Amino acid sequence: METMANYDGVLWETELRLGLPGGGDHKVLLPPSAASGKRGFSETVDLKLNLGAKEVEEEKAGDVKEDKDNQSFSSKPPAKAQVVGWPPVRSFRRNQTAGQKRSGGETEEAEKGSSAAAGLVKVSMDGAPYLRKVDLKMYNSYQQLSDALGKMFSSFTTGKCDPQGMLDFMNEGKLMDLLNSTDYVPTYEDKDGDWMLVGDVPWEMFAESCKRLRIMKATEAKGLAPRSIEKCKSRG
Amino acid sequence: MVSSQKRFKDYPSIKSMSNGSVQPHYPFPDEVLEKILSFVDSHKDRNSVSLVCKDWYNAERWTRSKLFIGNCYAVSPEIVARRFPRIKSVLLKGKPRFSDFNMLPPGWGANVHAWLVKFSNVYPFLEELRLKRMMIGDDSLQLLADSFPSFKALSLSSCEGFSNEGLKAIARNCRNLIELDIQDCLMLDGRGDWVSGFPENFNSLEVLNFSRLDSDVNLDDLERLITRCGSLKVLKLNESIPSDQLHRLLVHTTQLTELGIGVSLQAPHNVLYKDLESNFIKCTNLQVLTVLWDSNPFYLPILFGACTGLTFMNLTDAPLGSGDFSRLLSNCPNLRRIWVLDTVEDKGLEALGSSCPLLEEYRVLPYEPYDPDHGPGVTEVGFEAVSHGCRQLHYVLYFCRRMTNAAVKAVVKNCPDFTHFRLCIMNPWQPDHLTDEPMDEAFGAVTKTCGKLKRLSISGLLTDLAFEYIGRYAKNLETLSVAFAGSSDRGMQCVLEGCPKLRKLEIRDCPFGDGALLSGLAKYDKMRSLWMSSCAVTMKGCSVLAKQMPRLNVEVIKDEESGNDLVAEKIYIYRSVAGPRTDAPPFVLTL
Repeated sequence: METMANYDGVLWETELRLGLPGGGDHKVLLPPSAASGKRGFSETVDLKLNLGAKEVEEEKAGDVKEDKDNQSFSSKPPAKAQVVGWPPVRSFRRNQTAGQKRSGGETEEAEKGSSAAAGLVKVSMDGAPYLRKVDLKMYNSYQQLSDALGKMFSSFTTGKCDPQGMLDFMNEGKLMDLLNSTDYVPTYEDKDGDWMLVGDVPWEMFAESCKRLRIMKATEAKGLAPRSIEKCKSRG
Repeated sequence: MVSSQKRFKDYPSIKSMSNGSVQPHYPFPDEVLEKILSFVDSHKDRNSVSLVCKDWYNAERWTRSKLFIGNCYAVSPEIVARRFPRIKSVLLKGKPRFSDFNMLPPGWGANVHAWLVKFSNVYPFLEELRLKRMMIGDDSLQLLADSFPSFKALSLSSCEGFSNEGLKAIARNCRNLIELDIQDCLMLDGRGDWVSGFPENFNSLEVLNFSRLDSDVNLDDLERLITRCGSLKVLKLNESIPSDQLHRLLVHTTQLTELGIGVSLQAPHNVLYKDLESNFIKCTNLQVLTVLWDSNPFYLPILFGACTGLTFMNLTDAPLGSGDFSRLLSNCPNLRRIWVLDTVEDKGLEALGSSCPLLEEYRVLPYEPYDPDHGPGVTEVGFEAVSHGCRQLHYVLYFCRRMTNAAVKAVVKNCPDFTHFRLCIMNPWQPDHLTDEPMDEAFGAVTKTCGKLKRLSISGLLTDLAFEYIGRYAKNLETLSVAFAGSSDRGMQCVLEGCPKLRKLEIRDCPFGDGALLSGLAKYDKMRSLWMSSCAVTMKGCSVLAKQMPRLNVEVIKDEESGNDLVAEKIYIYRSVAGPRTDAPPFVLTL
């Protein structure tokens, strides 16, 4: 048994037994609960009893949930609450999984910086060779967005690209009807990673939660709720 | 006697001073000494020179032109200005490294403004400013642009506080700018019209890097700028340039040695493909390529033509699979350094081992650090595989979700020359994947085998034994990063007592308390800094340390959430000749 550092005059002992194939107990010091780590190391855990019941408070700082299953080293550990600053990576990717703020220093500044960037979303259109970007914060309504997208995809100059794929994009009139068109269905990926139809929710909510736009061919939009597609058609 | 024929005596004569002391009297005129010293470049050497005697101290301070300040709070602008009258280049570092991972509250400090005010008064000929982890506002950038007519190079790494306006001030006023290098910085806004700030007759730029900056840059402005800067050698763009317009810029970039681009191409288009491919083939001088890749694999071969001479490739924004990665690598035989995502998996790393025998450094970063279900990533298999093929490795940064002692031992056996060994097993306290034992022996092998080791990051399940190994064998270690490791105070003590060259120690979530903290009393003023967070250190321990070591700044950072006043949740300790901070925010207590 190993004795841990004296804190507040109390000696804590922890013991971890693993049933190794070679037989015999293998004693290893158990890492203590870090969530109450603000007070030092104060949890005594007996793995054999699999004290998952030892509920650990999730601190606002996002300390790690003490995951007993993990220490039993058997199956995949269940999802943990995110520990602040761990793993030690800086993330600058904007279209990562939902809600992930860019790290790189002070959260206040990061929020200022990322709120400007949060409006920028990639727009892809089936059949178009490239992605564009729009800043959703620059628009106040779906119509404005539609106008902007129309201009964006029609500004593509001829001669440099495969003419076959570009035919659909040459007709500006067709582009302006984009969001109301029955041939193309505008969809977006929201904060949770789900693909939704554009237009279902109020503009502000959409602008807030939209991470990425994709203008799909209607034939491919099978997975989306039929009710929404009906809604889309009826608008046209 | 022949001495009269010599201009200088062979040995220094002893000069008696009026106060009774004796001082060796070197017959060199000051000018000669200064001329000789002007060839001494490294600040470490210069620091040694300045300790020889008073004459040398003075000669050195008059001839130093490059300033390196590893901790902006270790010294003050006034002290620096008094000692060094002729500075042309400054490198200043601010926040502790853990600030990169959101561990420092907002408003902590490291603002460069006071420094710039002083520099504008005493160093009118300043040419270069390089900042790392500092706050720099638009007012500071404006001051910089207005105060130094010879200004040539601005490099900002992990900085924030500025916006488009500040960059515009630089573009407009720094007529002799050669280098503008912005890495990993956060802008307050996302605007990009600073590029249009460069005057029409401005053409001196050789280095332009804004590859991860969230700045919506206008293509036309950029094209005009690039066209007129004929000496441009380094160009690293961010994602705001649409991929279909890339060729407009790339036609001007055939002389580049370093290129960074964002490529987002979806549907295959043969003409576009051919255009881009021909652009890249012309980049015959390219040594460094950074790619933000979000494209259909159809386009990957456009890069191949530019890869033959590449020595460094940065793919940390290019999630490639093992197949695509292997295809790419087979065109890069000369790679010395590569940074990739773990989407390449073990198979990709095997390809790395077999394709790049000259490799010296590789880094594998996690694509989904917070979501372990997203893919297998890389494991001990890939780790070993690279070391089999790349025997010249001296730098590794490896993020993984499982590792074994055996693999680490094999790696350092294949590659004993590691100077930087940074292993991050992403699940805290994770033991050896095969044996369920702690990872102590892995780091024992690393420290025993790699005698040149300067930087070490440890992870996995570790007891005090790992720290004993470090203290016993890592005699050249300068930087150590520890997280979720150790069993008792003894661990930290082993390191503090055993590693003579230790300069930076950063620790989080370890069971080290006041005993451990105080065991380093004799050490801390030989180090640059110590960071400890979520350990078992108390305010009492910190007070004792502060009292016994007056030349240390012992700072406790109080997070809002921490209710317990006895615990010192985050501490940052560093030596300083400037005394306690005068700009500390309320949540930073100096004891």
